[in-house]
Parts: sequence; structure tokens; C-alpha cells
Amino acid sequence: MYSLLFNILVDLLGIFFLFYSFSIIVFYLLTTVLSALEMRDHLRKNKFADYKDIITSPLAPSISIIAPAYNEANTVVQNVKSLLSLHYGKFEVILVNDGSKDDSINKLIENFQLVKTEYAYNESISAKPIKGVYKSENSSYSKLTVVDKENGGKADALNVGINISNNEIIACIDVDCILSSDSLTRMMRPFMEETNRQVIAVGGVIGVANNCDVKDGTVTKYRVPETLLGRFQVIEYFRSFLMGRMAWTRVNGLMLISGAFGFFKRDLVMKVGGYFPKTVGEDMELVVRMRRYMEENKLPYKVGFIPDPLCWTEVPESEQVLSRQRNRWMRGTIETLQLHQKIRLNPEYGIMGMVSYPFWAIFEKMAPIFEILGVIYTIAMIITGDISALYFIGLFILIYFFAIMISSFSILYEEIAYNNYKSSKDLNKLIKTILIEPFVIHPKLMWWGLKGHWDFIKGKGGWGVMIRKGFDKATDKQKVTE
Amino acid sequence: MKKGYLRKFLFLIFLFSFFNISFIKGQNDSLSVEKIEEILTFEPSIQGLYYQLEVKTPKSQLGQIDFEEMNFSKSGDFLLSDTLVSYGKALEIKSLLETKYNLDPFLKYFIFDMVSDRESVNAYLSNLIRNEIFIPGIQITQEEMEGELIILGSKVPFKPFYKLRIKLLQDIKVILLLAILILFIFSSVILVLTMIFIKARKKEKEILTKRFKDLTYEPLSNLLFEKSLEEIMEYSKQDLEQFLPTNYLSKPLFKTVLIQEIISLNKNMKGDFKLKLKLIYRKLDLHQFTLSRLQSKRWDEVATGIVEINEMDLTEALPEMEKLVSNKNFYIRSNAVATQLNLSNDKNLTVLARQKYPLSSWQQMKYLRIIKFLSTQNLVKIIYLLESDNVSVRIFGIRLVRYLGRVDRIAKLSEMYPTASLPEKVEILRSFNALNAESELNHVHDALYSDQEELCLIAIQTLGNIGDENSQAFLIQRLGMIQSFALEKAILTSLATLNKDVFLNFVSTSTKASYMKIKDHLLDPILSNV
Amino acid sequence: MKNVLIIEDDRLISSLVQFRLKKDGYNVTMVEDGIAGMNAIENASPDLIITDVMIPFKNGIEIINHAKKFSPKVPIIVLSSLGEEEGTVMEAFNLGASDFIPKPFNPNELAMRVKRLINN
Repeated sequence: MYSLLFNILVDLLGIFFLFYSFSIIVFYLLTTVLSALEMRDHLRKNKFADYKDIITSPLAPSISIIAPAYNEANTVVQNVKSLLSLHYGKFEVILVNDGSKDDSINKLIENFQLVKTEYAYNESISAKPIKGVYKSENSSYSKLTVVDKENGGKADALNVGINISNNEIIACIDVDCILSSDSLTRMMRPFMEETNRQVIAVGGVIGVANNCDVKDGTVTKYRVPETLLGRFQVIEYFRSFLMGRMAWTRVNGLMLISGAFGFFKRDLVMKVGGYFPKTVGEDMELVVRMRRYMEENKLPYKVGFIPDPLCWTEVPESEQVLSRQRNRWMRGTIETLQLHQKIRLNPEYGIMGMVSYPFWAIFEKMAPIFEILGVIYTIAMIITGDISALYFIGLFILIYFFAIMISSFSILYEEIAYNNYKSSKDLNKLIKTILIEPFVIHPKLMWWGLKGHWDFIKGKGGWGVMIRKGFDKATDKQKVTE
Repeated sequence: MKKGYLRKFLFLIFLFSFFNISFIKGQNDSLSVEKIEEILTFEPSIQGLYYQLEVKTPKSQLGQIDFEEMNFSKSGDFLLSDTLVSYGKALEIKSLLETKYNLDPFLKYFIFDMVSDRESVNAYLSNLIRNEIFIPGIQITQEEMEGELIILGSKVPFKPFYKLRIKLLQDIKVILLLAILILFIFSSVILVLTMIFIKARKKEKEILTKRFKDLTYEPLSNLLFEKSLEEIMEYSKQDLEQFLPTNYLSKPLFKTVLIQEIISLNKNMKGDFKLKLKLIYRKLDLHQFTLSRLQSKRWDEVATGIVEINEMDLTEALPEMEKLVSNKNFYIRSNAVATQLNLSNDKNLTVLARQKYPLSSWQQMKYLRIIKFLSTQNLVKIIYLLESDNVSVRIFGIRLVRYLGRVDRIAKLSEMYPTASLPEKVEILRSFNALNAESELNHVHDALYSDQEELCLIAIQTLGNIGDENSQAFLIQRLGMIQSFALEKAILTSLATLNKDVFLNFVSTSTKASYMKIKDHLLDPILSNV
Repeated sequence: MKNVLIIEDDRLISSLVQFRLKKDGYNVTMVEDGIAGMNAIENASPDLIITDVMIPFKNGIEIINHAKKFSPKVPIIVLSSLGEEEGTVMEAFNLGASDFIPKPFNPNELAMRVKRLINN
């Protein structure tokens, strides 16, 4: 009797794994098609955009660039200079020194002739205290504001910047990112173009800058990174930006805008209470909360995405740093999904509730768990000599080829749309990476993801209970932080 | 490059076929030779398998051996054993002959009554086992053979005869796996092919475009610098074609490139160069090509055509534009409106006033540039925009009042103000502010007391610019009614610009912490410079 | 023969200018981005530089700075689209640009100014 039950259970599990794989393949195929359509439209639209117009037009929105910095004394001055030299009319740069332990602030004061001012601001979003707001005596740096504050983490630093900022759009940017000089004009297009719904946020692509030639804030020559981990991330970034996010944009279901390069409507960010400093996934959490606000108030809206290569960053090439990053990303995802459980499969939240949320829950959050269970299941089948083992081995081979296909597509996408990695040597290196990635890197990612789950359960950070409870309304974050 | 992809693709297909074969083989696995040897040895008999030993002996030894006893019969030079049913027995005899008599017997195999070799025996046996016709280890005695079938059945552990095949058909897992496999192969083939196709086409187009570009530099430079406008005017189409590489003009891509280059030059050049370019464009019948784009089904083609019409002043296409200004595609519509504005020289801006679709700020930006240009030649009539039924058009009109510095329309804005919507009111105040409309203080004072923060804020800023003594009192009064820090800061800022003494006096008598912060801000020398 | 260096990302425009200046007997070098431009300033020893303001990898201001550091006597003509910030134009002159020609421009006029600057 028990053995019969056990057999049924084993069979059901097997069917579940097959269904899971089946839906992954269907989802990715859809992604490929949707992103291709979106990319085609984007490239066509680009032909009709005269970006030079935006720089001087009085109709262009004003931008506050907010760049939090923590212990970046070596590069911060150069980075601020390149931010200041972006091609745009109305913008300001707010550098938030998040209690750096090094001499960042002194270097900034020295290089930009900064003076502490009596800047009056309102703490609309509560945050760690400000030690001083600096402006330059030199009028050629009039666009720069430097805020020195007590350490409170990235989200907290961004909130301070939002409090200080004055402009319509806020651009949250990692200070070590390299921005192309026309990045602001291009990111403004979605905000300006939409006619009958509000664009609440626009995300951009992050490129991998490792091993590329960078001169004065622009990537002049592309090269793939030296290490396997670096190369893998090049492909992964193609996959997630050029395919994933493009597809989500197509159906207006984008839930994540990278924290390193994201543009938001300031008034709306203020309304929902800014970033939530208690989660490690603050970038995703903010977008979800803003979307919830719009849905709950029945306002038509859109989250935009620009696939042009405009922003680059150095990605971690050491396993240790990468594992911490992925662990954090996983925790961020889990926390965001937990906080906003209310939207799960809730038709009131449209695409976000019915498609995006379940997708993130099943294919991002649970992926490491399901995959490892699947491997264990297959091994068990092999050991017991069950004939099903054959299907599962077959399935693994199939998934392997599928992964290769999707990755190759993402490279092709990049080549068709932008063709930045021109040398065929580089392409060969990327293709080799694709072939070994599923064996060498993927298991590690899954392992780091599992660790993320574990750390979340352990309640790393100490806000576990609160996050598990979730927000009731999109603006409730204010109550939590106050 | 193209070849490379093809190679990869073929490689992929190859891998697949390999994968498929191994998959099938996995189910048909034959038994190992060792295993068969073992089964043959220990089974007393196997249906259809017989063995015989054959010995070719030297005559001298024949007498010593009692072949009779071992059931050997003579046949020519050979001695043959009886047909044996047991392989074990056969081996036994064989080794006996070898060790005891030092003979070299040969073991003959029979499958039913056909002489066979060992390999066929192996194949036969594994076939029997796989199809479960013969199950090793099951002793079937004579009595049972003659007895009940059921008894026989009970001795054999239950295993359906065609278990595998039935399982294959019924098992949902296999169906799923097959579905995935088919879906995957099907879609990947389609996707890979489309990708390769797109990439190849794009690459080819890029190369051609670059080549065509290179081909156009010379002729265009020659025409522009070596020939006068009059000379070009005299030329026929054939004369002009002499300058261009022969036979290229029939290629659509070459035409496209040539038009692009002419437009780009037209944008960057001044004086009679512009005229020369337009003349060349028309003489080469490129305008026909442009006009034919409007018939395309692709929106980007149509929009490209519209842009070309705009740049090359094809006024004959204006009736066509009329139809496109209310197209549902954003790009077609906005470019058609821009072209209409630019070419029709209509100072009434009718096409805009009639727009039914909302205007995005992107479109307004485009139109503004054109209208600015128009208004350098002619006073444009904004009034129709201000009276439009479309809110976004009215808002654009209000903005134009300030962008073009149209002080003459302040009265109209003033008239609109009481019934206007909130966004319009905000824009009207902005225009008052920008144009220093001191006559409109009443409206601004009204707005100061609005409970809409946005409107209130812009009213405060406007008062900072155009306010009078009454305004100072109103500002101070309003300050006492609000809590918003942004408004407080704005009011104190405006007050300070209006009258520094009143401001200083006010803040010196107040103790509210936020006022103090704002005062320090306003008095900070660095901040007040910004 | 005098050398003229053109730094301009629109190849059509630079080819046209090249064609026009060759007629006047100058040797013309064209480059399309800021980095190639800086190299050319160092290696091609131009007698005059024509540069656009918005070019890939650098901007015209940086080009002027570099040229003034490397060979202070070489005259520089800034060629740029109208509608660019006035600040840029002022900055260009402050840094020592000899002339500023807004686009759209007349190539004959450009040729004239080139002649005048080189003969001085």
C-alpha cells in the first residue's frame, strides 16, 4: 500500500519536473519572440528620433542625477567629472557620500572647490542624518551638489538624494558606472513620447566594462573579459537585458529596473515613500511599489526600457564577490515578492499580478530549489534503475541545448542590434563560454541562490518578520520606516 | 561569417541526431557476451538451441577411444557427437576430449536445424530474453509443460509481454518529453533560420550601404562645387546620371542612400547649395521614389517618406499629408503634422488646432522648433490652438505664448484662466511668470490660495517675479496657513526677492525651525549665487 | 603644401569639405572620432584644425585643449550645429579657438576662412 502511494508520488514529481521544463521552454521561446519584436520596433523608432533636440528644448524634463558613493575615493572625482559632462540641458548631479571611511569627501572638496552650505531641505523620506550639503564656488561646477551623510546603505543614500533633488526626473546611478554622453537624452525619450499614459520609470542596459578600453567616460573598444566568470556575465547581461527585459517591456510587465541605471518620476517616488532601505533588493522593490500605486489608483502607466548601450560597469570576476552579489539578488527577490504577496495572481494588478509576479516566483525565486530537486530525483531514478531515469537524462540534454540556443540568440541579438563585440576572436570566446556555462557556472549560481534562500530563512538583516508580513498598500512603506 | 553559422547549425543538427539514436539504443540494449555465456552454461536447455561436437582425429588414436560410449558416430574423416540440448554438457565433453585425449574438437551451434555461429546464437538468445519468450532461471519441467497453463504462468513473475511498448504509449512523461522535444526542435529550427536570415540580410545591407555611400561622395562633390546652379538646371536626367555610377540608380537601396546623403547635406549646408541639392533630387526623379514610400504597409517606411517630403520641400505631397495627420501610428502622425506645419506655410497652424490625438511633449518639442522658425517670417496665430477642443493642444498653445514671447496673447490667457483645467492653469501661470504679466496679479493671487500644491507653488514663484506690496502681505498670510516645506521654502524665497527688508523682518520675529533653516539657506552666499 | 585636419563624425560632410579644400591646394586628413583626432594632432602636424563639437569619444572642447597644449600656434575652426549651448561656444573661444562656424554652413565660406587663417 505504502509503496503504491510512494510510486504515485514519484510519478507525480516526475510529471511536475517535465511540466516545469516544458513551461520554461515555452516562456523562453515567447521571450525570444517578444523581445525580437520590441527590438525591431525600438530600432525603427530610433531612426526618427533627433536626440540633439532634447538637449536644448524647453519641453525636455529636468533631471536630478543621484549617485551614492561609498569608499570610492580613488575614482570619485573622475566619475563626477564625467557625470557633469553629460550632454543635457537641465540637469543637476547630486553625489551622496554615504559615510565613506576613506577621504572621498576631502578629495571632492579639494577638486571641485566645494563649500559647506546651509542648504535647506525637507526630510520627506526619512533617512540617516546629513552631515553637510556642499556646493562649488566655481560656477562651472554649479550643477554639482555633494551631500555628506552618515552611513546607511545604498537605498538610504538614494533617499537622501531624492530629498535634496529638485527636478522632475530622478536618475539613480552607481557612481562607478560609465555613462555614454548621450545617455540622458536617450533615456528621456519614453518619458516624453507617451501620450495617454504616464511613464513612471525607465530602465537601461548595463554593459560589462571589464577589459574594455575606456577613455574619458566612454567605452572606446569592446573586448570580452579575461576570466570565464566575466565572460559568462557578458552573456548573462545580454540575456537578461536584451531579451528578458525587452520582452517584459513589450507586455508592460517589467518589474525590475537595475539599481545602477534607472530613471524615475520624482513626484511618484515621493508619493510611494522612496526606496525601502530595509531590503537588499531595493531597486526591484521600488518599481513594484510604484506599479502597485498606479494599479491601486487605477492610473494608466508604463514602465519603459531602452536597450541602447549607454551604461557600463565593472562586474565582479572573483567567485567570492559574485557569490555575495547573487546571494543578495536572491534575497532581494524573495523579500520583494514576500512584501508584495498581495499582488500574487491578483487580477486587479493586471499583467504584474497575473504574469510577472508568478514568473518571478516560479522561475527566479524557486529555480535553484526545483533544479536541485530535479537533479536529486534523476540520480535516485538512476540508482533504483527506474526506466524514467532515461527520460530525465534526455530532458537534461534537451535543456542543455535549449540553454545554448537561448544564449546564442542573445549574442546574435547584440550583433544584429549594436554589434559592439566586433572581433571574431571575442565571439568565439563567448561561444565557448556558452557551451561550458551550464556545467561550470550554472551549478554555482544555483548553489548561491540556495544560500540566498537559506540566509533569508535565517533572517539575515533582522527585518525578517516584517518582510514576511508584507505591505498592505503601496505606500505603507512609509509607516514601516517611520 | 555566414558560413560559420551554417557550420554551427549543422553541428547542432548532428548532435541532435546523435542524441536521438542513443536514446533509442538505450531502450534496445543487448545483453553482454559474458552474461550470455553464463546463461547458456547454466540453463539445462534453451528452446531451439542445439550443439554438436566435431572431431577430426589422427587414425592412430581412433582405437583408443570409446567413441561408441560417448555417442559419437563416424562421418567420413570426422567424428560427430549426438545433438546436445545443453551447452554445459557440450562444454564438458569438449574439455574432456581436450584434456584426456589431447584432441581438438570443434563446437557447432544449431538454431533449430540451421548451422550457425556463436554470434547468431548470442543475438538469438538476447532476442528471446528481451522479448521475454525465454526467461533465465525458470526451470520448466516436463510435467508442467503438459499441465495447466495457469500453473505455468504462476511460476513466472508477472511481467506483461510488451510492457515497454505499452508503457511508452501510456506514460504521460514520455508524451510530455516528446512534446517538449518536438516543440524545441521545431521552434529552434525556425528561430535559427530566421536569425541567420536576418543577420545575413542586415550584413549585406550594411556593406552595400557603405559602398553606396562611398560612391556618392564624388559625384555630389563634383556637382556641388564644379557646376553652377544654372548648369544643373540645364541638365536633363540623363546628363545627371552621367555623374553617377552607371546602372546603380535602378537599385532601391542606392536611391535610399543617395536620398539620405542629399538630405544630410541639405541640413548642413547653406545658400545655393541647398537649391542645387533639391534640384538634383528632383531631376533624378528621387521624389517619385519618396512618394512611393507612402504606399508602404510598414509604418517606418511611410514615416521615412514623410521625413523626406519634409526635408526636400515636396509641397505637391501636402494633400497626402492631410490624410496622414490623423493616422493612428504615432510616428506617421507626428511627422505628417510636422511636415504639414513646415511646408504649408499656414500661419494659422490649422493642422495642430484640429489634432484629435493628445500631443506628447516629444511632439511639442518637434513642432516648437518648426513654429519658432515660422514665426521668424510671419506672426503665427496661436489663438486657434488656444481655442482647440483638445486639452493638450491648448496647453501647447499656452506654452507657445511664452516660448515665442507673445505678450499680445496675455489677455486671452487671462480670459481662459477661470474655466481652465488644473494643468492649463499651471501653464498659464508659468506663461504669466515668463512674460512678467503684472496685469494678471489677480489671477495669481487667486492661485496662491489654491489647495492644489502644484498651482500654489507656481503662483508663489510668479509672485516672486511680478508681485506688488499686496502680494507680500498675501504671501505672509498664506505662509501661516500651510505645512508643506516646499511651499514654505518657495514663499520665503519669493518674499526675499520681492522685498529683502520685509523678509528679514518677518524671519527675525519668527521662531519656527523650518523658517530658520530656509532663512539660512537664502542668506547663504554660495546658494544665492546658484 | 599645407595640411588641414578635419575631425568630424559625419563622413559626408568631411568628404565634401575635403573635396573643396583640395581644390584650393591643401592636403586634407579626415578622422571621425576624438581619439583619432588627438592622435592626428600629434602625428600629422596639421597647419589648421577643423573640428566638430559633438564627436564620438571626446568633445570639441577637449580637442581644442589638447591642440593648444600640443601645438599652440595652430589655428582651430569649430564647426558645429546651431542650438548648441552658448556656453560651449564661449568656452571654445576662451580656450583659443580661432573661428566658429555654425551648421548649416557654406563650404565656400569655410574655404575662405581657412585660407585667411593659414595665410596669417
